[in-house]
Amino acid sequence: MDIERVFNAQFVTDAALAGASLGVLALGLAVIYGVTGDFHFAYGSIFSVASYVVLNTYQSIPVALSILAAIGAAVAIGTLIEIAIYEPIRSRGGGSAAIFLGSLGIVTMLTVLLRIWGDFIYIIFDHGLARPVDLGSVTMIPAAILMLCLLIISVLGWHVVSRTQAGIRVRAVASDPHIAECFGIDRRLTYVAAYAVGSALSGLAAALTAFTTPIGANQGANLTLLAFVVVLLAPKLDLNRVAAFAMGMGLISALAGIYGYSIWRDSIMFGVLVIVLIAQSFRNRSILA
Amino acid sequence: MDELLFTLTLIAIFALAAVGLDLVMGAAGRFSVAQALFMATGAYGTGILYGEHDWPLVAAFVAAVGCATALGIAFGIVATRIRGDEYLVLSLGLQVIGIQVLTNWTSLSGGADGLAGVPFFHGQALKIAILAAWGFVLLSILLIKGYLRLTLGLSLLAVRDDSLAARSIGIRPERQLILAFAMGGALAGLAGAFYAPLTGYVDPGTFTLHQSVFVVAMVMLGGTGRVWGAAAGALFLIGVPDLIRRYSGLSVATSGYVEQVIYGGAILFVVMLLPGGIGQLSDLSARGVRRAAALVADSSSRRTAKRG
Repeated sequence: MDIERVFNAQFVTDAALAGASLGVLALGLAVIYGVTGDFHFAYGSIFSVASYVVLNTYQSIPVALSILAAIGAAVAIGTLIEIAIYEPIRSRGGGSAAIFLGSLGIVTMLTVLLRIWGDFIYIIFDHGLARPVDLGSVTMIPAAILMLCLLIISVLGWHVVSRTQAGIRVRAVASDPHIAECFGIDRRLTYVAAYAVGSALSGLAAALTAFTTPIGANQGANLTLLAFVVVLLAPKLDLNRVAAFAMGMGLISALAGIYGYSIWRDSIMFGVLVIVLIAQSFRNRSILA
Repeated sequence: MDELLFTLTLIAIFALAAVGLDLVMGAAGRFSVAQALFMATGAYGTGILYGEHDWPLVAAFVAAVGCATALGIAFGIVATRIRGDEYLVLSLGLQVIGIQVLTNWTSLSGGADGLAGVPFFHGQALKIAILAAWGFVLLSILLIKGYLRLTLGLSLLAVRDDSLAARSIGIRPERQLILAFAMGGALAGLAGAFYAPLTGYVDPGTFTLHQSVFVVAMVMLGGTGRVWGAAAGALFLIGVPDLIRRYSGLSVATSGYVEQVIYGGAILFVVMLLPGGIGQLSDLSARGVRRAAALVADSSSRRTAKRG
């Protein structure tokens, strides 16, 4: 297979759109992980709930309202989890392991609810956002183009926000929550805000993904695993790199598909993460030394 | 009857894996979500050697446990170089990769369809298997409890609490961690080795990340670091759903949902209200008994003083 045939405009477009989809999801997770340090695995279930909201409402109400409903549901569940579950765990001295386990408990509960709602794979075909359009020599799905725009807007938006007073407060809490509290910054409110923003991005990503990819009760959890890889590869709250790594993962995923290695996609992505972690550990020498 | 024996053996299998993980999480202080991968190594080792190459069962068990121990040593070597949170992520990555390898390496593992036709325990063999499995559970609990009282085990606890201080008094942290991971891997491998002939079938879907998390939940439900608590967690998380399935009269689908709700609810209950797990209840009740005894002793001494 020669390089010109592989790296044609359609391939690059598909890779960029796949990366953008993962990127938006990863950005939301990066905001939450960057600010709180929590392994919020229930993020995937929030994604699934939001996509179910779109799938069940887009025919009865305008799509814009349907997407807003998905975002609203995601934000409501995300902030509720933070206020009612994670904060009590923290206040009892629970560390990241306890929050990770708590999030898995939430995933189990939400998956049961989703299965009762309808445990099958959906896909939307009959909507303008899901119908492929030809732009020159490439074919694209409008929902995927929106996702790419959303990724760019989110990264630029963070650049602006991170330089405002509010953004600096968020970065202070992310850097050291206890010191930030000493300086009068409301740590709990910042955490709730991080969960709200991250969940909103998850809801938006879920709503648009519903127009491009089949959705099931476990889809969010699978995508979140990959998003975690991207988030953990980048330094905390470095959303530029999160977006760049997501695009890189999109490229790897598209290449794996072309060369017939798509069944190894998760292994390739997690393999990159494992290699980076081990390489970092060798660079820092043994932590026990 | 066979169904009950099957469940009891299954509880023992998961108790073995959970006790092994408790050593890694509780004593070595490394949170891992890859215990199902060690179980898979034991199960596939036994499935291939005993089921396909007609090795004697005991020899297949020994070889399978040996493979899982070797994997444990490899994980231990990595763990000596990586921080706690990073190890959690690494174990997650290795779990996903390991199961994908088992799913896609069809010539070795039978692919997603798995290995069928492993001669399975039934009748008298099942009764022997349950005795052996529970025997191993008791033995492993006693051995680990004993190990943690020896200098070797205390060194591991010292490494967990402060590796630098431990090193300053001559303890080699790397050795302690690798030994703990090897033992944890061996116990999970033994659990997997029992699993293959218990079900007569091994497939990658049985050993996913979900299963690893299930074992973590058993450890945390029982109380991390208590050793016996991990076995109690296995008893609760497998025994209670089985009782519901058996006696509630619910349909398979509904009892499946109930099972998941119990599982999720138990996790949330423990992390939010009972961070020390079921073991904490025994501490509380022991404290209550002591307090009650002190009150009784106090009131009787006052009565005696009044009479005097």
